[in-house]
Amino acid sequence: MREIKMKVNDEWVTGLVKSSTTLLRFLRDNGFTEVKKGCGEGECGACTVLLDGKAITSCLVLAMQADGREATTIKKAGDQLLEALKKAFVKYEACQCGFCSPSMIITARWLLDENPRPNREEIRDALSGNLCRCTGYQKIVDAIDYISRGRNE
Amino acid sequence: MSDGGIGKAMEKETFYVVGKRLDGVDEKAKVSGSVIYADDFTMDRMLYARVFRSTRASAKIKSIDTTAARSLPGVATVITAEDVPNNRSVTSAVGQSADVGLLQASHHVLAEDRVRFYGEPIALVAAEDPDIAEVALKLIKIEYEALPGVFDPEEAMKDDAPKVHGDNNIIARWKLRRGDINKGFREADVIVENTYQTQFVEHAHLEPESGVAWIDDDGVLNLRVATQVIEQYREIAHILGIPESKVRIRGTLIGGGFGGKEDLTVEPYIALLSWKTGRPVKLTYEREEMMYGRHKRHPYKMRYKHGATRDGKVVAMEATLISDSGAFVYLSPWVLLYSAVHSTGPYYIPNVKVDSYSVLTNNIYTSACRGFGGPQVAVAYESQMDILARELKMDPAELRAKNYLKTGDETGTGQRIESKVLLTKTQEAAVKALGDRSKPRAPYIKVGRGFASCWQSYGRMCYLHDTSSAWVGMEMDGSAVVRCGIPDLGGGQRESLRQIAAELTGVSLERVHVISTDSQVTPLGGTVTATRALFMSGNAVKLAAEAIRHDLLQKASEMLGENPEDLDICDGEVFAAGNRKVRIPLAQVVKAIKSEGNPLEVLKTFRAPVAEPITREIIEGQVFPDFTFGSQAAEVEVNTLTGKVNVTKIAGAYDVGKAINPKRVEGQIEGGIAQGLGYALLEEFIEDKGIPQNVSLTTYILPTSKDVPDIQSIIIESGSGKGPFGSKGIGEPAITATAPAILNAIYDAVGVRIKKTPATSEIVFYHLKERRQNTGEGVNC
Amino acid sequence: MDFIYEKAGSLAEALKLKAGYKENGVFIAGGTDLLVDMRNNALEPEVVIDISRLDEINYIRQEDGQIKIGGVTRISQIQRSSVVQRNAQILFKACREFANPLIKNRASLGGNLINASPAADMATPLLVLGAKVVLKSVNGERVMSLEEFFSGVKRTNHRNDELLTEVRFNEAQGKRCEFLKMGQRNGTSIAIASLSIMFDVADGVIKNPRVALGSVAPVPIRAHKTEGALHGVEPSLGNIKRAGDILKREVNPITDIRGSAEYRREMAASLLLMAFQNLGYTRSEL
Repeated sequence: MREIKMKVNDEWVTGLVKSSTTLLRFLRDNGFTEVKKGCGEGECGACTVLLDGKAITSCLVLAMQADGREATTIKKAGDQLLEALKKAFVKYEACQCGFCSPSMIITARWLLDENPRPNREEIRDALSGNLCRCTGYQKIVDAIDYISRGRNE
Repeated sequence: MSDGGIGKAMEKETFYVVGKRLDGVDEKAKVSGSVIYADDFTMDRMLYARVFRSTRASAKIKSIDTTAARSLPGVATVITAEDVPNNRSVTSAVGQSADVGLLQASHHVLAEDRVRFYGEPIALVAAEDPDIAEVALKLIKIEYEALPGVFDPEEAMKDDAPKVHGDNNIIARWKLRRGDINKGFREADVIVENTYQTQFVEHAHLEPESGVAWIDDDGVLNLRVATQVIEQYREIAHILGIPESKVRIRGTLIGGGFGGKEDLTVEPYIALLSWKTGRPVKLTYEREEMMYGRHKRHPYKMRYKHGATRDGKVVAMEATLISDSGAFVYLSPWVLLYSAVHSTGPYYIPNVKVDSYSVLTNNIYTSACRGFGGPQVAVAYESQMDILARELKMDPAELRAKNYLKTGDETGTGQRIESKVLLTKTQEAAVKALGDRSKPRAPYIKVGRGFASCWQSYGRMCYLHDTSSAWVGMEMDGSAVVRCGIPDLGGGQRESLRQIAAELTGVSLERVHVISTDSQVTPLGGTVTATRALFMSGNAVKLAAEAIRHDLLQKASEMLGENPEDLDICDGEVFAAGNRKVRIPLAQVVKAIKSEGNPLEVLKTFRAPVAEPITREIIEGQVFPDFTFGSQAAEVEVNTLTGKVNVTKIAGAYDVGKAINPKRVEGQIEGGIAQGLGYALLEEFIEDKGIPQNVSLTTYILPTSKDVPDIQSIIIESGSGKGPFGSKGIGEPAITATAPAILNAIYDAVGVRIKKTPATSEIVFYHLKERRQNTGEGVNC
Repeated sequence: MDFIYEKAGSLAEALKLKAGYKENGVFIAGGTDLLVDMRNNALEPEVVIDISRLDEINYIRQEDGQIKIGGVTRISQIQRSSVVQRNAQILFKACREFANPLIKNRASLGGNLINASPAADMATPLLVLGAKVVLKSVNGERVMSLEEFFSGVKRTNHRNDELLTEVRFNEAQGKRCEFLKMGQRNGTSIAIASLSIMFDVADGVIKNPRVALGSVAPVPIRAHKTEGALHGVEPSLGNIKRAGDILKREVNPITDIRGSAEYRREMAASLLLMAFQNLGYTRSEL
């Protein structure tokens, strides 16, 4: 067991972890339950967070690898683009059961950093590691497309 | 004596909330990450459970030794079948109590002396942390002795097949008999006969099965669990041998169900472990465990024969349906019944003969999955109709139009269709929505289009005497509380209730609080299954809210000096419909009513149409309250060099009666279509002699955002549904037509008829190769 | 049983640790293969050596007519690199088809090659680029062609004290190239069959064709016989079909959950024809 310390949404979080503890487990055990476990093998994307600004599946990162680094979940305050995405998701009803929503929004947030005005094909490509079983992706793409088009102005 | 105009006032003409694309309150919580799903919940001193499962498909348990597991530091307890007070659990009629004789289904909570499928639960472990629980599983020593197994339903029907339970593997039979089938085929000019095969499918909801159980300070066993059926508390009480009044299920907002959380999943295990240890216990399934340990959609083998006259009237239909029930019965008899009833498709056919069988095997057990037997037969009947049209050299749309059911027609069971039937409208709308035909993007690509029409019941079988109860109460300040037991799967079940209550009481949406899904606090709303949630609980809330509305209008009319039929309520204000200046705050009206000793709280029960129990094998009469009718159209690209099928455009048009919130209806259509696309092209859970071959999401292929195109969803509103405000259900109908629409599109593109789902690239490739050899036609070159 | 986690602060430290632990220690960079293998109990290492943040072997350089990519460089970095897009288009095309963005943000080039799946997406483009791998240990450095590097299903010819620090290949500007991956769906897929092809056309004939395939043999392979059949001939339908027939005999696929051996054999030839058609050839004959 070793103690790690990392920044999550602007707060420093410390905890004891085993070598095999994943970043996903570390985050959920420390109260960040908005990060979901869907499969544990990087296939469903429900555990997506930003790690130093890059969208990754936290179930495939060892907590020890994240020592000293920064993670962002959808609960990060003061991020205007994140808030705009959340509003768009509500407006377009891009959440049904909501289980994939935190991960979809975080991946979208990362996408808009890489590509401020993605078209629908680019949005679909960016989301291809995030599974949704309820919505058929339609309104999720619509919501992100709405934000993308807004940034054209 | 007149009612003072109240009756007229109750008939709403203007809608402020219902029918609008309003933002849901629950959605705001979902995007903020604040929803506490089942696995997000922890308690002090909580233990973590794991399930020890069979790695054999058919075997005797010679011995099981849990000593090493028990002695592992950190393990609180290990439970096997002998520790379970009542190990046999009956699931003959979930949530209700109809005993249906031969069809009574039971399963074992934990395996006793024998295992019947790979993944069958044998023992339970509870430990201080999940890693210790996992190690404990590995320490359980078990010795199996192989028993013969049977893995194909038709094999299992034979007299000499190994028996999975008792002395007969056939656990359900249903028939349809109508007219004179031989006469019908004699009248036919064209006969089309084919066999179709569908596959095991996994629900693949993103949230794994999960729950926490604990004993509260009243000695009541609480289960906070993701379930579609909170009425399961009765079954838990039975398993533990404790009074039903001492078990409370608090349902969570669920991360997807689709029938996967309809039967008992984690509930009996956490209940047993918590009861034994006296501590809270959490169990969350691993993804692999969901794949091989929990039920799948029934695979069906379907032999269909249609006869039609030259002018396109279908005069005869004969079918044999065989479903694989897997190792335990669960809901197989009812899924089979749905299939038999829906097997004709939404068509009027005068001569019908259907024989259906559900058969036990040592494969994974099968049970509820979105559509409940409807999507499987749709693959068959809509492929048949497409083939028939081509045989008759008739436009497939014209053939459908000539045979669609009409209001007043009788179905294959003799149930009279009461609602409007707008199938032609849905078919035209779906096809039109595809727009211009796409041009092939490469020489080896062929583009094709197809459509399919479907029907799917909403509301449970009438003989179950289904009910749903809801309570609506007004607060002093004019806000409102709705209490209804119905779980919310993510389809906005709760939001619809909020909208209905807001519409009728005039309370603004944000000021209506809905508390749901608690078996001891909220009136039981029934299951969220069978596309019944809006129909049943929506009607229950409507009844309760209407009663409140009645009292509000009565009092307001006294206070304003206006006739009640001239008043309306919206956004917390009662006003004269013709003159908004004449108004009074709702809160004032409420206070006045309450001060006179009327608490303004109403509990109502909505009762679905009832029918006699179905006791004969031949199904006759009214089976379901009503049906939803719809059509889907798809455009596909077929890569003739690889066989890969890509859906480029897809549309679904449904008559939903009335859309309480169009956004939500569209969401159901879109989600159903995506699942249907997976069903048609990608998804298959494979077992080889009962041993699972693909238990991971790398090998069980789900549609991603790159596999599903933009979806057009078209809402048609006939107003003729039995749900609130003339609505119908959409949850299951949304998936039923997708697969056959895609299969028909493949035929249009490359002239090959795929009669097996999923239509993988390899299957399409070899069909193409065979066609080339038979016709001598080149493909792209 | 938990494993020991060691973080390497430098390349030298990484090599020293590996020399000490040998086969009992495995490197972790992106972890996108390793953690999945550990979850499935396919791998139970005693020690995991973290090299994920070794900047020393995270680079994309262009020097002396060669492109050099550090072993820990992420697939997403390779995809974004204008050096790669200009000088190794085939590699860029493969990056686009690789898994999904979340995985690409973590997965490393070295990891994909060391994992040595017959389906490895980075392997076939690097094979047609004639890439070499640099293997370093405390004892020095070896350079090996990628073709020699793969020795069997998920097996490579590196020693138990070596780390793959770099992949290098000659610049390949202006080549005709195509990468095709046939998966079970459009999104993240393990290839049923994949193909990389790179060639020139001069005087109306194919010159220096290089063809590599994945998922049709125990290792990703260069199809030398097929290359021979394509060299010096016109890119006509007949010639490509003939080459495809040779390719079908050159591959050695198995049947697994994704597809049968026979289908994979057919796909090898199909992908070859598709590649040429995508690049505009044979269309006038259709």
